[in-house]
Amino acid sequence: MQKIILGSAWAGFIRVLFGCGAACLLLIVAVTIWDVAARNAGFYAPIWLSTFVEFALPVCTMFAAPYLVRQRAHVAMELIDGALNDSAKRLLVFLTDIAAAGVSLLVACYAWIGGYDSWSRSEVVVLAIDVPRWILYAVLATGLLLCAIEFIRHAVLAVRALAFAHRPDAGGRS
Amino acid sequence: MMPWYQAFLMMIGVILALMALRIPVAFAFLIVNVIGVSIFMGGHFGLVQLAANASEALANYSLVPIPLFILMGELFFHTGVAQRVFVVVDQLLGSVRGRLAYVSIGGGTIFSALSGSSLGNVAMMGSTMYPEMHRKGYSDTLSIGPIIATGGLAAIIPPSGLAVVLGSLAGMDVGRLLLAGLVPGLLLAFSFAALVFVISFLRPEAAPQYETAQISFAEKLSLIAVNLVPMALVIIVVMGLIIFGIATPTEAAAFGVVSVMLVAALFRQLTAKAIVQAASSAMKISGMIFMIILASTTFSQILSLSGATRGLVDWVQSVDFSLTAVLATMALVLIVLGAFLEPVGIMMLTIPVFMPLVQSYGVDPLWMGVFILIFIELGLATPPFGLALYVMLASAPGKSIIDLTRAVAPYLACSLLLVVLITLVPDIVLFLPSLAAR
Repeated sequence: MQKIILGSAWAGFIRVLFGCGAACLLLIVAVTIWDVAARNAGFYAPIWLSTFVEFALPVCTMFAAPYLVRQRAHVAMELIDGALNDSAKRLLVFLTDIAAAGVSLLVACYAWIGGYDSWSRSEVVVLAIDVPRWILYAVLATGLLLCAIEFIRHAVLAVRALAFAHRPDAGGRS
Repeated sequence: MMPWYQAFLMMIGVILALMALRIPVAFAFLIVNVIGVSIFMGGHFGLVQLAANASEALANYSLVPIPLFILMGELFFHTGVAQRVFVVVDQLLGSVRGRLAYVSIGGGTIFSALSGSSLGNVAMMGSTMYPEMHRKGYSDTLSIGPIIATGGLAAIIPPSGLAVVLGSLAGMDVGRLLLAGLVPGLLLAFSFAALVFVISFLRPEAAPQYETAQISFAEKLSLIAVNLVPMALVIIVVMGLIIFGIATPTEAAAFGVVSVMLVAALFRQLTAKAIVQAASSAMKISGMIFMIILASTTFSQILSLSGATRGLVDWVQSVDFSLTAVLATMALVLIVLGAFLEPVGIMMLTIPVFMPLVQSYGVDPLWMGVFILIFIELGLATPPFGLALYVMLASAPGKSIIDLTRAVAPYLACSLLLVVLITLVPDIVLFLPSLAAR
């Protein structure tokens, strides 16, 4: 029961993050229009608007990325799938998910190191307004960490399916 | 130090192998980059640099038009406004033989300009036009062919999301690249229409004629004024702002989104549900594209640091290949990659190699950009993995990839002819951008 609640909460969290990413896109439109309209009409436009738009892109991408992993919506070639039987396909899915999770964790880890380094040196990105650089690292590290968790979840599901297929009562072949 | 050709083959070979193993393209790029920085940039330092590049890759104002153009197309699609284009073009054509094929080409070209999404274009025409054409007895060449072929136009005709990606990645002026695609895109659309005319003339049974309701000239004018003019205004707003230097592509794209909302509101088709669906679809597509861009930023650096890019350029120059031979080889590479890879992946693989190479021959980058876009359009319809073929397959039950490929083949020949034409007369591509405000 606890497992189900945790699973639903996690799925909901990933979906909400994706929704925030989509809302962020609409916000980019609104902010850009506000910026251009105000500038051309001679009104005051806050200088942080263009910086917000630039920072919104990595944020909404990283908000959406874990959901895309969950939905298997990231672009992938299904070149050799047809040539494999079910067990081999599940094994391949497991291995590729583990590889993707591994590389996501590795880069997330280095993003965390880079972010900490940047924070301790008080680095800023000089745009219309100065923004602490560690924010970009934090966004990347968090997004990739969530992607890694989703890949691991897929890998675990693939192993379970593989184990189930090999059980004699499931009619699987070993 | 590894010889340049070994470095080149290793990087390209590993990434293609990883993709073949069905690792998502973005994560395949991350893996090959981790391997590359470990070998060529020194383990720890290289990985820190990789994380730094990835974190900064998307904080770039020139990338903002991509999700906005996608959102624009999705709004057209989800509000149902796009359907009006086809209904109107259909009514305007009357009882011309092959009418529905022309409707696909005409409506598809307009929708390409409005949406900038090739696959969205194919999906919409596939689900709306194909069943009717199939029922009326149109041959595959005159039903499936124009739908898939015209869908690809969205990659070339402005405002194209893929052109923005290419322009941003290659460091080109995105506004001028968008303009460069206009004339070739329209020429391609006209060549498709000419092909339909020739096929209908030579094989009348391929497009059976039937009675259609006739409408008066005044009614036609009214249809154009009420339905097409507002949509034309959207294109004019977006492209006009860029051409006259009034707004950047980002600002023009944002105005495009608002214009589409206004048009949809005008037709009383703007709903909260449509906006949510459009934003959600746009986020999915943009997320996929941006993850690939984010993951592959270090790829070109590694190719450069390993000496592969310089080595390849020097080698091609030392062997004294003619420009025609180089372009033909690039075309072949793009066709082969197009058969297996999606557009952004192809760009990320080829731009770091192709651009320095053609620039060493003095080729205008804008021209090269359009050249690549045409082949990306071709790749979408090339078996075995052309994405447009699979989107169409969903709308054409009972057909195989081979059937679809046969149907679209004559139109792909038109695209190849266009490549020959722009090679012979580069001004077809370069004239319009030269007029634009710098």
